[in-house]
This record gives sequence, structure tokens and C-alpha cells, in this order.
Amino acid sequence: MKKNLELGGKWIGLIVISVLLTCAGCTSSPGPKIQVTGAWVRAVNTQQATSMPGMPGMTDATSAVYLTIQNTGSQADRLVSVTSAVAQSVEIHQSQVQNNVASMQKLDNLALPAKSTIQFQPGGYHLMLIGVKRNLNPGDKITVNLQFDKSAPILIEAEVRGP
Amino acid sequence: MQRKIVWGLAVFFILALAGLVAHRQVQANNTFNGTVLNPPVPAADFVLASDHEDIHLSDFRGKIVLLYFGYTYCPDVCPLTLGKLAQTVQGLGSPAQDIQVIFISVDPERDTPQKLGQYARGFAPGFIGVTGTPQAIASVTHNYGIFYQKTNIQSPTNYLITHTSVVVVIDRKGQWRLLWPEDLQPPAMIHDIKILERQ
Repeated sequence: MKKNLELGGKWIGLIVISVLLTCAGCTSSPGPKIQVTGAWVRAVNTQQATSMPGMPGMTDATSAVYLTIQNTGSQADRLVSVTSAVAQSVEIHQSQVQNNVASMQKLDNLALPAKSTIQFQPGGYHLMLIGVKRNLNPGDKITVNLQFDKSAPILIEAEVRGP
Repeated sequence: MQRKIVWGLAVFFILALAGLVAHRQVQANNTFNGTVLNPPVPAADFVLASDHEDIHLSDFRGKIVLLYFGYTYCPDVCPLTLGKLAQTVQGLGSPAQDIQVIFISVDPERDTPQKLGQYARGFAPGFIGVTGTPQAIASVTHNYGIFYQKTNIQSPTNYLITHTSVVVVIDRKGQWRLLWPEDLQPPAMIHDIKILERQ
């Protein structure tokens, strides 16, 4: 009887330890891990802005947000959409200059590979603010909401900088 | 006697070397960073509308004129370049009064003179923004070798414009002297302007 209880106790102990180890594995499961830093936005004066042609109610003032996105996780993710209260629309864009010819491309989303850092900087990736609703003066702060395919949305603050 | 000859030769070589270094320095000081038009080309005159009055390029004879072609919907490359020109003008100090920056729109359908004026002055108080009819813009861009093309996109902006991003540098006599490439930085621009000012 005593021997059966001891064996039973050992089995229960093994089962408990196995469950605990499995749960520990659950909390540190691999996945993307996104950090956004260094956000800033170009100053813009909307005083002379008019309606976007064919889109009454939307101003034709634009600006650009720059930042750094790091994915320190072991799984890739994607930046899929961006919004901001100061603009009617925000798009992901990439500028390119080849042989002194500048072009810009709208991206539907942006891949964030595992263990990668993507810099948004003048002349490259940027978030284009379209239909800016008010003056953005140097020193002001705006909020920008970034949404990802797998990760939770991230709300960031961007400082307005002059030219 | 032999010692005197050796010393004499040493002094000679040191002076020769110093002369060579000084000559190289003078050459470097007078070498442009931008692409040089050789020989210079008379800068084609134009008349375009600012938010105050019609502007002729010839109005600015006696000043160094910097022309840049872009559009106000452009949130990235155009502000980047105009920002560099603002830094250049600021870095020159008082001689900056002899510099005139003119931003010429390649988007005449959307850029009004009022919008351009405010946009240009946002970079520095004396900057001018101008536009014109599509025909006038086609003419001035042709004269300065500027490419521009609309690209339609699914966006509230409807289209973006691919365009040559260089700065046309015109001297005080109205001669087109230099092209600054897109990646030239303000210190190099200041260097070039100082050479033009000495001529």
C-alpha cells in the first residue's frame, strides 16, 4: 500500500512538472516582436490648402512621417495599415532616386522580416500623410497608429520638425 | 661646403613640396563639386506666376539663381532638397542675399501660385514658388532638361509625379554654370557658390 502511494506520488509529480514545462513553453512561444522608435514628421502649413480635386472635404496638404521599426522576434510580420487623427489618409510609400530621377511608389504593405530593422528616412520609406487637417508646427506632437498582420497595433507619438 | 650644399638642397625640396601642396589647395578651392557646363550656356529666360506677380528669370540678373523642379504634393524628396537649399543659404551668411531660389512646379494642374508661395517660403523667407500653364511648364522643363511624368495610383492623391531632381545653378551674368545632383550636400553647395561669387 505504502509502495503504491509512493509510485502514485511520483507519477503525479512527473505529470505536474510536464504540465508546468509545457505552460512555460507557451508563454515564450516564437513570434514577431515589433518596436517602433525615433518617429518624427515634417512641418506643414495648411493655410493655402484647398480641397483635393474630386474629393470635397479632403485637403490637399501632405506630409511625411519617418521612424524606425524593429522586429526582434523570430517570426516575420507585415505593416498593413496606418492611421492618424491629423490626416484623412495615411499611406506607406517608398521614394527612389535613380540617375537623379525621383519617383515614389505606394506600397500596400511592408514586410518586416524576423530579426530586422527597417529605417523610414528622407529619400526612402516614409508614411505619407494625405489630407492633413491642420498646421503641423515644429515642436508639436502627433499620434500615429500602426497596424500589423500578426502583432498588436502600436500607437506612437511623432515630433514635428521644421525643414 | 658639402654640408651647405646638403642644407641648400633640403630647403629647396621643402619649399618645392610646400609650393606643390599650396597649388593643389588652390586648385581644390576652385574646383566645382557639381556637374560643370563647359562652355556655360545662356540660361533660357521664362515667365511664370508667383503668388505676387509674374516672375521673369531675367529679373534676377546680378544674383546667383538656383532652380529646383518639383511639386507640393511630394512629401519627401522635394522637401528634402529644398531643405538642403535652405541650409546652404543659411550657411552662406550675409552673401545669401545674392542668392535666389526658385521652386518651379511640374504639377500645374494642382499647384496654385498661392500654394507654391507659401510652400516655398516655408523653407526660407526669400524662396519663390512659381507655376504656369502646362505649356509654359513643358517649355521651361524642356529648356533645362527636366523630365517629369504622372503616375496614376489608387489613392486620394490620384497621381504622383516622377521628376528629375537636380538643382540648376545660374551665375550673376545669367549663364547656366552647374547642375547639382540629388545627393549633393550643403557644404559642397556652399563651396560651389563661393567659387561663383569670386568670379
